[in-house]
Amino acid sequence: MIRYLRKHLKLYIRYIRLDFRIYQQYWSYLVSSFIQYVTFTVISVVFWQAVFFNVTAIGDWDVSKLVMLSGMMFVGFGLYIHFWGFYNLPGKIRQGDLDLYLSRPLNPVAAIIFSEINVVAAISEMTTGLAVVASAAIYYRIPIILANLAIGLGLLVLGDLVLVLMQGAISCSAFWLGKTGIIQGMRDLLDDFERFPITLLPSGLRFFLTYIIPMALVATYPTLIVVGDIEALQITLQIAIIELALLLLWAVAFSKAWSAGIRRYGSFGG
Amino acid sequence: MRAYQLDFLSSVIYLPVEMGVVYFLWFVIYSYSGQIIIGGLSFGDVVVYYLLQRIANRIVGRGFVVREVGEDIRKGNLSIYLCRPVDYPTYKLFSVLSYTTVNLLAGVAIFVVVSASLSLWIQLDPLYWASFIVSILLGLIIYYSFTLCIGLLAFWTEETGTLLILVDGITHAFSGSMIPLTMYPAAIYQVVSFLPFRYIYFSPLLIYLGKMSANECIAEIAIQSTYVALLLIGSRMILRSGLKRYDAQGG
Repeated sequence: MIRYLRKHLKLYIRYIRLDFRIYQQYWSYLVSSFIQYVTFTVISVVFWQAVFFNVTAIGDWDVSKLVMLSGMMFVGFGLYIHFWGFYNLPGKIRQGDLDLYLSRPLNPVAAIIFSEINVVAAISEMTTGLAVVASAAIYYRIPIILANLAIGLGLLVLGDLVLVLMQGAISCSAFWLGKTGIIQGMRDLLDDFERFPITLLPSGLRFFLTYIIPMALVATYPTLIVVGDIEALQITLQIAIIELALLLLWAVAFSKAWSAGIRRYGSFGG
Repeated sequence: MRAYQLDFLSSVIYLPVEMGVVYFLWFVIYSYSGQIIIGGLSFGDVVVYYLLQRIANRIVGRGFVVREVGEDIRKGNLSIYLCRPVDYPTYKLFSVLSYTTVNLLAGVAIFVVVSASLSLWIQLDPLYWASFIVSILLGLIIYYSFTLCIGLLAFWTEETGTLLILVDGITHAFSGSMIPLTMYPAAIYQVVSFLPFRYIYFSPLLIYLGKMSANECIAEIAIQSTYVALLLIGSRMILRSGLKRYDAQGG
């Protein structure tokens, strides 16, 4: 077991090194990525500033919290793209490229994730997000308690892992459906909910986006916890327990989908 | 289509799902602000605005012209078009139009269905409809010409990906795609009004919403036409200048 884990850890480190090397050689990609993240960040901030030019507050959310929400969204997405291999899995299934991973003495799921790892992009995105959060805290004079920051980021990680496993299960549908681009697109549309405060939505939608597809966990609730919102802190444990259950559920769903899909996989491609 | 039935079915409900996000966002903003009018628009106006904007986005397209033109130049594929009796910019424009035609048909159908189901206000004046259609097509050509100019910079720079990101960002912020421009502070709105980006989405959408008088509509369309002419002339000049240094080595 330890040898097995060590083998995969070595592979993981190797792909990370490769990723860094690529960015060292093609530094223009790094510049391009950085400009992309800064552009998206500026657009988010400009949007909320424009809205708050016309209104003073939206419920309990003021411009400071919403700017921090934008930053937290980038942190969440940066963690999510660490597992980008799941997103590209349908293409590999359709084109018969899974053989590359199935024929190796490695866990194919781990190999798929590691081979598509984009650590530099993930770190850039997360750093940009944390910089926005820190800048907002300084500019708007919001006191940050480290314990709240840890809890908020912990919930964010939990929510992201649920979304990653959900993504994996969706991608496994390619074993049966072939092209999953539009289903994926619909799933991606839900990402739009990340950028605004889900606690302001009607209760049904709020429940769905917190406890079924936990978009609220990758930006809204981490933001509220980081700023020390009492109501959010009070329900943290409840949310965490339900999300752990969801994590288990989607882990089982993905495992079953992968096993069933691999049994019918025929690497004909096309 | 039959091979990917779920794909086709999903594409039919793609836009309304996207609109759901926008609808809830602005419902929340208007509800909690306590204001009926924000930036000269009511909640109903904003919903129609964004619904039409999402449809117009599929008509106007995204920055793929930058990417395609940049690749044609970098990989030497431009030579294929130079050898043929086709005008490259015109060819690109019509390839964009072919892409937008399908989306226009689907978009109109979805707009009618969603408007009817949500009891949204629909423009009934045929003159405003005609003005809107002319204006949105001019907006498409403005966006195409601008992205063509950016793509043609590949004659001088190897990397147009970063430019594409900046173009998308600027267009998103200043065309009315992200937020109606009247919601910006007055000083910013004044500056943005002089840029061509507002004529891509914002002007056509305001025309549809009936927020302009007939004379103002004519003035907007005249300004759009001027920008179209300037940008098309600019793209021609860039192309002519770039072809002098073009050398189809590819790679």
